[in-house]
Amino acid sequence: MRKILILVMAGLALLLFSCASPPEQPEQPVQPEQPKQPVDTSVPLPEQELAEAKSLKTRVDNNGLSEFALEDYQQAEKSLQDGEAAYGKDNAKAKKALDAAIASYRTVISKAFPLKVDRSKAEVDTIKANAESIKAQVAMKSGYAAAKAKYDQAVAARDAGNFEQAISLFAEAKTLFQDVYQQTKVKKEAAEAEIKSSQDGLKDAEERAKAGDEEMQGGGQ
Amino acid sequence: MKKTILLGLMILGLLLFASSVTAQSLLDNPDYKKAVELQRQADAAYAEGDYDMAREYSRQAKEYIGRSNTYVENRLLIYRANSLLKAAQERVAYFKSVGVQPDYQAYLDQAEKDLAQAKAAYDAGRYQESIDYSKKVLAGIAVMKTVQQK
Repeated sequence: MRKILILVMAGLALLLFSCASPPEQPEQPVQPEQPKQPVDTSVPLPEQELAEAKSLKTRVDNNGLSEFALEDYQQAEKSLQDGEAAYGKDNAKAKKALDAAIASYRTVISKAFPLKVDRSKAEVDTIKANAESIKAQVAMKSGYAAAKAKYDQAVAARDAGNFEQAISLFAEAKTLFQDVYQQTKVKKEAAEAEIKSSQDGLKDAEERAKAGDEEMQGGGQ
Repeated sequence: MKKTILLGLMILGLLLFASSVTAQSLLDNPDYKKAVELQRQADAAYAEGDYDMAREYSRQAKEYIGRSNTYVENRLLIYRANSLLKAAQERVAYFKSVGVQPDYQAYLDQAEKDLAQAKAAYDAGRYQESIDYSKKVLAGIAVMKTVQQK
């Protein structure tokens, strides 16, 4: 009887222990709400700066100038991003960032355009030299003259500082020289085949004649 | 003395002329020479880069090569026709002069007829036909025996 009582009490003690709730966590202190920054309305929206920065970016991207002044380009991109982020929120900050972006894009343009033009010219110079090496100036007189005229225009535009025009003209000259080169190559190969054919014909004629001479001098059949 | 020298010079000239005629090559023909000249022009045009003209000169050169080959073939044909006709004439004349055994008289008659055809064809410029008749004569005569032969 005593044993049963002890067992029942032990069971009750176990039940009480298992049902106990965990100790409460201490409450986190509530962060005080940050005061909202007031919108700066004293500085007008830098609309013009934003438009100019975007316009310069378009010009840089369309002409593939970034690779020629990468550091300045990255700086311009970051400033434009900052300007757009602050735009309408902190117009003074936005204007400052956009002014910086404009300056950086202009630096990209001034640095990269001459380099880009030089590369364009070098590409044309290579294909032009290839065409001249197979005498395209003789074989494709008018085609070569047209390509050369375009090339000269491109050089003149570069010398006048019209870099975008120069790049465009060099691209046209390159296409023209490539065409001239290909057509000259085709003509050259056709001439080589024809010349070889007539050379073989002459050799054959000489052999026939020699055999005939021998037959006639040897007394014939 | 002067006459002797003059005669000597004339004989020398004739000998030189005769040797130049016999040594003349079949390539000494205007078509071959023209072909060589056109080939030279083709090479020059090619070197200058005038590939269109180079092709044109080469094309013309091939035309003249063809003409030269035709000339060489004709000369050889005439030479062969002439050689065979002479050989046939000599053989027929020989058998006629020595006479043939009666069994072969018909062969000789036929050979004479074929020889006449060969000569007529040769004179008319039908050299291949002449060659064919001459060969026929020579083949027919080959089996004949003279009266002395047994």
